[in-house]
Amino acid sequence: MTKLTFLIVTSISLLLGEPIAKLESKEIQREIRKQWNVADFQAIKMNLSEMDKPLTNQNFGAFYKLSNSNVSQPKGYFYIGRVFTCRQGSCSNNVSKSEFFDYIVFYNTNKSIERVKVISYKASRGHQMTSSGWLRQFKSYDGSRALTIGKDIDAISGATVSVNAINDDIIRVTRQLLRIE
Amino acid sequence: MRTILFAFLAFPIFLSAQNADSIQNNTKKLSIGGYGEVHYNQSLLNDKMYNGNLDVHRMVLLFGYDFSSKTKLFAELEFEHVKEVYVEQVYLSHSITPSVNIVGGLLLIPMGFINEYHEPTTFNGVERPFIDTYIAPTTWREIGFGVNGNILPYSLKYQLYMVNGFKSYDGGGLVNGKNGFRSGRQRGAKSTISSPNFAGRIDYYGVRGLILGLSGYYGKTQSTLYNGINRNNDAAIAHADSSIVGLTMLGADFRYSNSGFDIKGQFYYSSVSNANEYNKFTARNGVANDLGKAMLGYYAELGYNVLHQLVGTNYSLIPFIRYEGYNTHFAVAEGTTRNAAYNVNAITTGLTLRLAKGAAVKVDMQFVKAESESKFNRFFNAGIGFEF
Repeated sequence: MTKLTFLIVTSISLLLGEPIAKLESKEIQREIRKQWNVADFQAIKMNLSEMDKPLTNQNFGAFYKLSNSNVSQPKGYFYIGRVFTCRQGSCSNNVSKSEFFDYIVFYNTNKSIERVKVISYKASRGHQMTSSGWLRQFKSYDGSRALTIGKDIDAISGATVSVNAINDDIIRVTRQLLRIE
Repeated sequence: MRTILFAFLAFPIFLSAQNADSIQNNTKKLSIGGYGEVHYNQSLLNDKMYNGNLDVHRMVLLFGYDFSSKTKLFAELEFEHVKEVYVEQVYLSHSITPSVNIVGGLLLIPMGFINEYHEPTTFNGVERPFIDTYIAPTTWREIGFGVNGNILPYSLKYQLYMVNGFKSYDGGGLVNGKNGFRSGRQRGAKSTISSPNFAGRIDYYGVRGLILGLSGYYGKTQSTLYNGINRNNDAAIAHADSSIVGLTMLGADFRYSNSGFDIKGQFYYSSVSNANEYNKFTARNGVANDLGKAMLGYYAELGYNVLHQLVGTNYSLIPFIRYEGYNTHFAVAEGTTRNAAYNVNAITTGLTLRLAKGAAVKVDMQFVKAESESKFNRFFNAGIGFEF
């Protein structure tokens, strides 16, 4: 089993070429401290629900539960992951491995969104969606309904692909977090 | 010994596995997209009849290829008016860090936002704004190289390129008052270079819904007269110098969207040096050329998606109005008479119906009047536009 996991992890990271932003990275550590105003913390990786497990290989990211000294009382949750986009148009079957961004979603103990932060952006277009002002629109989202671009979330002219990509991913991961016991 | 034997045995398996893998990877590395627009343009005047014009204005195929996660190719192949073929962009991009990418090839000049974001689904109106034809001659692209990237903590994108410039002389003058620099575009087709040009742009996107842009362009035009002249031949150099002009161009723009509203504006100012000398040099039949000494263009546009509040629809219906002004004779050199026909105001108003993400139907009316004219000329335009 561990061997299999290792294989999957290795093949995914080979496929990606560039590793997804790591929990240990300075930037992410800084963001976590800033979010919960903590000096020391414990981040425990969470296992996906049984329903989502078969999709592990489509999940370019991981969920964590954050607590300080008292592990039984979490302060919140967060997700670190990667979203693949493409240079043009509707790219569901057309994702480019060189066009992506890594981001982090902070959730409160009720599993609704506190903050979204894009930590690395490697796509040739759509960078406008990384603005914290625009990302603030996801605050309080709890997965209970779908979010529509142009209605719930402002569209950005010239950034259609990234805007849709992050919106779809946030809905997906928020609902996955809800399914984790 | 055993290891070597094992390696030998395993080798062919490894090889075939790799082959299968690379076929699969090739399809993943290649991405294909496209955009296009089909137009109907009809001139409407009270006293005369005019034929309409039906045109497949553009059909463009986009190709992207990932050589690695850091190195990629991007190409845009264009058919204009069905039968004119252009390579509109083709460049290699290599990412050093997420905020530093080196690019080289046939590049779009980052002047204003229409030149870079010229897909028909990104702007209102059937045709691109006039100022993006006469002042910034979209689609403006030349061969060059440079650097671009995003500085995320500051919500900034920067682009800085060294590119080839407009050609002003090729046995005769190529740029003039009527079309500005439009006919000087070399488009990377056997282009001539005598002096490199510089283009740069900064985008700020830190405020929700707002994108601010500043563009700059600087350089001398290109001339075939420099070819083969002796470095010490001052007279020949002076002769060739008369066939070029210096161009400094500034652009400022904004886009703001909030609650279904879309407000945009662009402003361009071009300053041309050596226009007097150039106009005399490129005289035809004793009549001097009329390239302006300064050019100006601006527009402001307001649109509102009337279906914004409607729940459960994927359609957008956007009435819009755009006011434009441009003048290729904003200032003229000594010896050039200001031509009032080059000072134009235009109002474009119409509807954009987005059927789905990436597909739109557009109609508009244009009212265009030059300073020299007493009344507005009217045009009706309709078209479809798509991007995938």
